[in-house]
Formats: sequence, structure tokens, C-alpha cells
Amino acid sequence: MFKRLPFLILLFGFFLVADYGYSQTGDFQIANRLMQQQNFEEAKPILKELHQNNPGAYVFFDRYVECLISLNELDEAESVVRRQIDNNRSVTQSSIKLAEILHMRGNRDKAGEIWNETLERNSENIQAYYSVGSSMNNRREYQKAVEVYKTARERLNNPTIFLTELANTYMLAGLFEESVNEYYRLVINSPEQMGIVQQRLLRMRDDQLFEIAAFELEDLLFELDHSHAAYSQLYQLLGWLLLETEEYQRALNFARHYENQTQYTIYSLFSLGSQLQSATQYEYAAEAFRYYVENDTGSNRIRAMEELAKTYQMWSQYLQQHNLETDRRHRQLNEKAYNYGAKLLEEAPGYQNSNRVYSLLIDLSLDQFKDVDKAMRWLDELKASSGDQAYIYYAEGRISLFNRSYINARQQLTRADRATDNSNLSERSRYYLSLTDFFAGDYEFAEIQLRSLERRHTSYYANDAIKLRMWIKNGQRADTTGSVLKAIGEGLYSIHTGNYADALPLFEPILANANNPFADEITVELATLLPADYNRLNYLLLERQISAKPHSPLLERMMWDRAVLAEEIYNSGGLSMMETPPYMFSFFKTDDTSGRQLTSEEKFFRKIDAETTDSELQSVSDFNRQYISDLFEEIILQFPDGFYAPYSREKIQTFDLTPL
Amino acid sequence: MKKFILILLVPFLAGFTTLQAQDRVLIPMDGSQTNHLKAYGVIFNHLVDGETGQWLLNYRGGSFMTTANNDIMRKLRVRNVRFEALSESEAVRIIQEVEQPNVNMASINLEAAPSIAVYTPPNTLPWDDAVLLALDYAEIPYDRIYDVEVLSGELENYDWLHLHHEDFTGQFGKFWSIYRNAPWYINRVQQLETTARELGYGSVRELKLDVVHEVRDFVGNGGFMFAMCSATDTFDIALAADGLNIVPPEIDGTPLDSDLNRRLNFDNTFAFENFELITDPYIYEHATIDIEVDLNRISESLDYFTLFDFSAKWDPVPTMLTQNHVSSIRGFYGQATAFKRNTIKNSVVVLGESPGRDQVKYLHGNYGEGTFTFYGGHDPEDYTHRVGDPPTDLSLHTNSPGYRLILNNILFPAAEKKKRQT
Repeated sequence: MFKRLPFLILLFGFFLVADYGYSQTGDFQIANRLMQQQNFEEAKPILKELHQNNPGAYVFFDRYVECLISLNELDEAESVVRRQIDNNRSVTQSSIKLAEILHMRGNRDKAGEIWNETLERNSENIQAYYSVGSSMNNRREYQKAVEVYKTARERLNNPTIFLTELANTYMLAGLFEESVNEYYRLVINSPEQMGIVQQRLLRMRDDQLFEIAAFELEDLLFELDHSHAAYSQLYQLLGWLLLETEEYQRALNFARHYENQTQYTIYSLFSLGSQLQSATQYEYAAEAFRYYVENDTGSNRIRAMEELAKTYQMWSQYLQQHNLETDRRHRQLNEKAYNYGAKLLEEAPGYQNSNRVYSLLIDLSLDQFKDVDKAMRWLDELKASSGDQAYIYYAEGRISLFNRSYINARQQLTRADRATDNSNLSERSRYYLSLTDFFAGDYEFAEIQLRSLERRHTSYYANDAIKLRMWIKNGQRADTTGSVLKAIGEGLYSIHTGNYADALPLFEPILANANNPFADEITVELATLLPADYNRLNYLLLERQISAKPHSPLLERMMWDRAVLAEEIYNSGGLSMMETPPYMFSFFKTDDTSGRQLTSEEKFFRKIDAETTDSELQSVSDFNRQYISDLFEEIILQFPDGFYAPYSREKIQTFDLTPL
Repeated sequence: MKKFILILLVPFLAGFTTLQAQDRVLIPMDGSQTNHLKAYGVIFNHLVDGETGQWLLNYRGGSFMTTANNDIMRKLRVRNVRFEALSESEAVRIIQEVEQPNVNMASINLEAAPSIAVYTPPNTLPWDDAVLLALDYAEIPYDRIYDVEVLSGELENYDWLHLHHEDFTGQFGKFWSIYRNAPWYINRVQQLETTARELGYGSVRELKLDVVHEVRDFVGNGGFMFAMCSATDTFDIALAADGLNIVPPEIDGTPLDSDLNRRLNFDNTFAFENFELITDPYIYEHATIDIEVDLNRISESLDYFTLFDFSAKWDPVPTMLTQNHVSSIRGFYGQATAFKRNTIKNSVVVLGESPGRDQVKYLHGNYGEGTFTFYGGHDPEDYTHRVGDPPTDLSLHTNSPGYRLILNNILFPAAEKKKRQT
């Protein structure tokens, strides 16, 4: 037994120490929890005891001092810290803590001295610089912290240390230019850090910061050699910043500058052009692609021509969808798209993406020029060039639809959808398939096709799909026999094929009653789709509809269409100069046979109709510039934050600037 | 002869009188109204133009009546505010109906439009201000003032003062924990600290305390104050903690005073008492006045608060402040969402609460010769408006009952003085 005694004593001692250590850990955890709960009074005695029993344990010392600071017992805190220093325990960290306490007490000079002394004593210790810098940041002495980090770079002869710390400190100090420049320096030294920098900027989500970052980065890139490993990364960041801040012209200028700098093509404008397309900035996108058409040769030029044609087409469609421009402007853009497409095929008949170009030309022939013969010629060329079968099916389907051959159209468009793995072609096929079903009167099938299109939020056709499906739903609700939808379908088909004179009589019974559920939508469709010959008719329709339904959900759109039409009429010489449209609704030919009360506006402004004589028009003051300006102003008054508000403001400004 | 002349004159005079009788216009504020918010603006601007009107409390949702002229008719039409043209006799009949002793309605004369000041920083902040949105949408003119103007004594030029998402405790909104590295927060702190330094204050807390004192005196001298969101509780917290450092060191670098909760003086406050401060910088609350955020417990679709009914004839002031076309209004969060009932002084009038939940959403009280109204929450048409969210488009909420309460407060100072003093 006596032989085992030392062993037993040792074992006992071990468990005693272990138990004591365990209880200390438990106490420390309790104290920490109390600190988190802001119960500093309760935490203090626990931490005091822990520190007194373990003066060498920095963690207990640190928490105890923090607790005293939180209780505003700065005298006691200072004395504890000084005791620690005097006893040579964690001198560096304790000195830093002392500086913080003195700073808190208002003794900033003394605090600065201690920080500096600490650095002098540890001039080769990077951790010391880090700790002092952090301490200064905590005390909001950002300029001092910046100096410390810079000193560290000099003394340790390493210009790349503390890049992130400096950037953060500059940011906290509100010195955003310096901050972003440090981030860029970080990327220049380690291009793979770009993701971190971009994430950091993205998290800020601050327009002012993005603008500053873009300016600084532009300057940096002008000076940096384009062959530098980080140049491309930084250029990508600049492009992103400029697009975020909607500085499209600057993005274009810089991309051009970058492209010009290099001997080989880097496609900076190409990728920017695609981004600008997505942002519906078509004018800038066209400029981007035009660069390659005018300055490049070979396959780049041809590809650029395809993108340019596509941009013009998208641009026209966008303007047309929202009726932001006149019919003449749409035609101009479509003609440009068509011409570039045709020219491309002439220059490069074996172009690898010729299918897409033929498809574009066929779409334009049918949708814009209403010329099925033109479309047929392009189809023949597509077939002769051994084009992709899916595109051939699609083209055949579209032509069949145009020729009212619904059964063939269905078959061909369905085959096109199945045969392709191109999502754009698939969407178009489905859309026209649903349109085929709609025109043919098979509304259930049409709805099925449309539902899948609506779900594709990025699809160009999603909005059209929703609109068409709502029409089908509302039409079926209004009349279960389907006669209303049939009339609408027939009318839309005639417009689709350019037979406006056939379409309008079909819409007349619906439009005769301004409160018909479809009256607003058809009015808007006609304003969008009818050519300039029908401006007078459209104007009267819109006036009528706006007066009759001041709470229509399409009110803003109708007001915009009316104002744009009024401007176009004014620019064409006024109502008196307009030809009578090829067709005029009968309810416009007599004075107010609907029994509808004239609105206040109609009383105030003379009502114009097809019977109004030229001399009567002369005496009417409504179609002057002021009247048109008032129309746009009314949109802003009623819909100050509406979709058309910024466009209306632009129009009014144009009127204000243009001399009388 | 004289008789003959008199016989001729009488019909002429009668006709003349008839010509002089003006038409009236009634702006209904019940469910038939197309744009409640712009209606306030129309009537306010009508008063600005020197006209007068009447506020028919509890009549068709708190309708307005005034004389018809071309200008108001045009404004009503352009702004799509529904109105009804009345003859004089119809107007008289309505007034008589409202003034009957056995109905809870009253007619309040609206005299002069109040001059409005909105306490708001000059730079844009990444959140909207519901009152500014309401004023802009209703086209009601106002001036912006901030610390310098308040401390220069400019409040005496105004009748009505609005405070929105402000932090009068000097803690910069307690955004430190989440946004301390965000450029907008850094800018804001720097601007406030610079202003404090230039005006001779040792800290932003001291600066804001003086601002609070100025506002307090403004109300005491007869001014009207309307506060929403964090301006409500932080205003009273600053008053209660007068002279104490309640800002955590992480936020402004200075240590807290000790034993804070015991040293608060609730005699100084307007509306709240018996609350405790929350000094943890990581918690986005200033004190225990505000209710806890509990998005999971109560569904947004069930979160409502109810307006109390008051006697229009005997309590016109709270009646004016609670005019609405509905009695239950959808709830909405804010930094100060609603007030715990047990922190509200007995002298305060509760205007709206969430029944069964001990939460007061909307209250009103007197201080000296003036009045104050506190409305919890940030934006009545945005259930949880967060930093960086786009501003609410009021053209989509033209009949917002929550926004109507704001506009009631704007119009109420225009009421004839004798009616206001209850």
C-alpha cells in the first residue's frame, strides 16, 4: 500500500486540478453569458476572482477589464491593466488595452504615446501592428490606424500587407476613394481576390460608393498596362460597376478604349453589347456591335452583323410593345434589322448561324412587312442551304399560320418545338402554336401552351402569353358560347396578316360599347398595331375610352398612347392635314348616339370627329404644342411614379427646349 | 309710386340673391372616394388659397365640404378625387343632419392651413419617410428643417412639426451592429458628428438632446407634433435620460453611465413611463417601450389594429385624428412598431390599439398648450420596410387607411381653435 501512495497522491492531485480547471471554465462561461446579457454587475465578481486566481491567463484579464469598462469603472480598469504591465504579463496586449482606456478617459495624447511606444518595442512584429491598428479602429482613430498600417509596410518592407485592413479602415473613415483603391491594389497583387472584392462592394449596395469605385477604377485602368494579369478582372469589375450605376455611355467608351488598346480582338464590346441588350439599352448595344461591323473583318464582323440585326429587331419590338415611338420609327428599325440580315447572308452564305438569320428575316417579313412572298423566298433559301430542320419547320409553321392553314401550322410548329434544343426557338414555336390554336378557336389548347410560356419569366413572350391567356379567360367568362372570342380572334388574325380593313368591322361591335370588358385592350392593341393611316381613328378611340373609363387599369397606357398620337398628328400638320382613315367606326360618324354624357373635357375641348370641317378645326385650339404638353403632364399628375412618367417628363422637357 | 318701385325691386333682389348663392362641393371620404390621399391635399391647398371649408366628422368617412370654384373643381378632376356638386340647400341639409344632437357627427370649420415643417436630414437615407411620401403625394407644401434650423429657433415659424425615423438618443438609429461598415451609415455618423462639433457639442447625444428640448418647448408653446416610428420612443427616452450617457461605447466610443434604468426620470416624458433601456449595441431596440418583433407568431393577414370611436361633438380632437373609412387597419412594422400598454401614461389618449394584445398603435396627448401624436410603425403600406427597400408608390394605395391617419394629423391644426381645445 505504501508503494502505491505516491501514485495515489498523484492521481488525487490530477483530479483536483482537473476539477478546479473545469469549475473555472464553467465560471468563465457564466461570466461570458452575463456579459452578453449586459449584466455587468453580476459578471464582475466572477471575472475578478478568475483574474486574481489566474493573473497569467490573458483571457480572464481581458474579460475582466472589458467588464470594468462597461461599468464605467475606468479607474479600476486602468489600475488592473497597469498592474499587469508592471508584472510583465502580456505586456504588448496590456499596453494596447491601457491606451484604449486612456483614450476613453479623454487622454488621447497619452493614448497615442503608448500605442507608438508599443510599436517601437515591437517594430518587427507584424502582429503588434495588427493589434495596434485594430485598437485604434475600435477607438475610431482611423487616420492613426492608417498610419500604422502604412508604417508596417515600410518597416517590414512589404507593400502588400494589410491591404484588406487598410481598405476597411479607409471605408470606416469615410475615405471611399482610398478604400476602393486599396481593394484594387489587392486585386492587382492577387487577381484571384477579385471575387472577394466584388462581393464586398455588392454587399454595400451603395450608389455613391459604386460611382466612386467606377471613377477610381477607370483612372486606374487608364494607367495600368492592359497586358497585366489583373487587367481583365478589373475591366470586368468596371463594366459591372458602370452597368449598376446605369452609366452606359461610359461603359461603351471604356470597352471601345480597351478593344482599341489590344492588337487582337478581346470582344469587350461584344460582351458589353449582350449585357446592354439584356438591360434594354438597345441604342448602346447597337453601337457596341457596330464597332465590329465597321472595324473588323472576317467572322467577327459577320457575327456582329447578326447581333446588330437582332438588336434592331429587339429594339423595335420593345418600343412597339410599350408604344414608346411612332410607327415610322418601328419601321426604320425593322428595316435596319432586315437589311443587316440580308447583307450578312449575301456576304457569308455559309455562315454557321445562318438558320437564326433566316428565321429573323422570315419573322420580319411576316410580322412587320406582312409580305408572305418575301417570307417564302427566305424559306426556299433556308432549305437550299441545308438549314437546321427545326428552323425550317418553324418557318413553314409561321407561313402556314399566315395563310390560315391552321392544321399544317400546328403540325409544323409542334415539330419545330420538338426538334430544337434552342430555347429561343422553342419559345417562339410555342407562342405561335398557341396563337394558332387561338385563331382556330381551340382555346383550351391555347391556354395549355400559354401556361408553360408564362412560367418562363425571362422569356420575351411571357408578357404576351399572359395577355393572351387573360383574354381567353375573360372572353370565356363574358360569353361561354365563344362568339366574343371568335370575333376577337378573327380580328387579331386580320391585323396579324395586315388586313386592317377586314379587322376593324369585326371589332366594331365590341368597341361600340366603351364599357365592354375588351374595349380597353382592343383600343390599346389597335393603337399599337395599326399603321399611321389610322391615326385619326386611333385618336378618337383613345379619347373616347379615357373619358368613359377613368378607372381602367390600362388608363396610363391609353393616356400615353393618346399623347404620342397627338404629337404625331401635330407633327404631320394637324388633324386638318390628315387623310380620312380607310375605315371609320360608325359610332364616330354621328353625334353621340350612345346616349353617353359628354365629359368635362369634351365640353371644354371641342370634340373632333370625322365630320369636323377644316374651318372648324382652325378654330379649335386643342392641337397646339401646349395641348400636347398638357396631355403628357396629365400622365405625370395621375401617375407620377408610373412606367410612362419618366418618358412623359422627357417629352415635356423637349417641348420646353424646342423654340416656338 | 313707392309701392310700385318696391314691388319691382323685390323680385330683382330675390333674383340677385339667388345669383349670389354659391354652389358647394362635397368630397366624400367613404368607400366611394377614388383617391382619399389626394383629397386631403386638395382641401389643404384650398385653405392655403385663403378659402375655408368644413370637416364633417363621421359623416361618410369624414367628408369635406367647401365652396365650389373653377380652381378646386379642376384640381379635383385632374387628381381624380371624387366629389359631388351640391346646391346651397343641399349643403344646409347635410349640415343640419350632422349637427343633430342625437347623432355622433360634428361639423368642424377649417380655417387657415398650418405651416408645416418636417424634421429630416438634408441627405437621402436608404429608407422612405411615410409622412414625406404622404405630403408629396397629396401635394401639400412643407419645409424641411434639421438640427441647425431647430437649434436656431426656426420652429417658432411653424404650426406643425413631423418627426419620422429619427434617433434622438444619439445612437445613430442603432444600426451599428448590422450597418457599421455600410457607406451610408459611415457618412451619416460623420455628418452628425461634424455638425455636433461645429455647434459646440461634445457628442451627437448632447446635440440631439438639445433638439429634443427645442421640440418640447415648441409643443409646450402651442405647436403640433406628429411622430412616427423610432422618433416616438427615442424622443421620450432622450427626455427621460436627460444628462445620462446611454449610448454604448461601441457606437460612440464613450462608456455608458452606470445604473441607468434607476436614474431615468419619467416626469419629463410626453407619453411613456416605467420603461427600461436596452443598452446592448447588437439589439435593434432602444427600450422596452416597443413591442417585440414576432413575424412568425402572427400572420401578416391577421395583423390589424382598431381605431377607437370618440364623441364627435364632445371630443372633436381625437375624432378628427381617427377619421377613416374603415375601423380596422392593417398593421405594419417599424423600428418602433407599437407601444406596450404598461409603458403608456394615463394622461395619454389611446386612439388605436391591437385588441387582446396589449399593444397601442396610435396615441395622442397634450403638453403645455400644444399637442403630440405618436403613430407606431414605419410605412402603413409596407409591412416590413427594410433599409434599402424602394419607397412605397402611393399611387398604388390611393385609399390607404393607414396613410389617412397621417393626413388627419396634418389637417387637424387647421380646425377652428375653439373646437380644438377639449
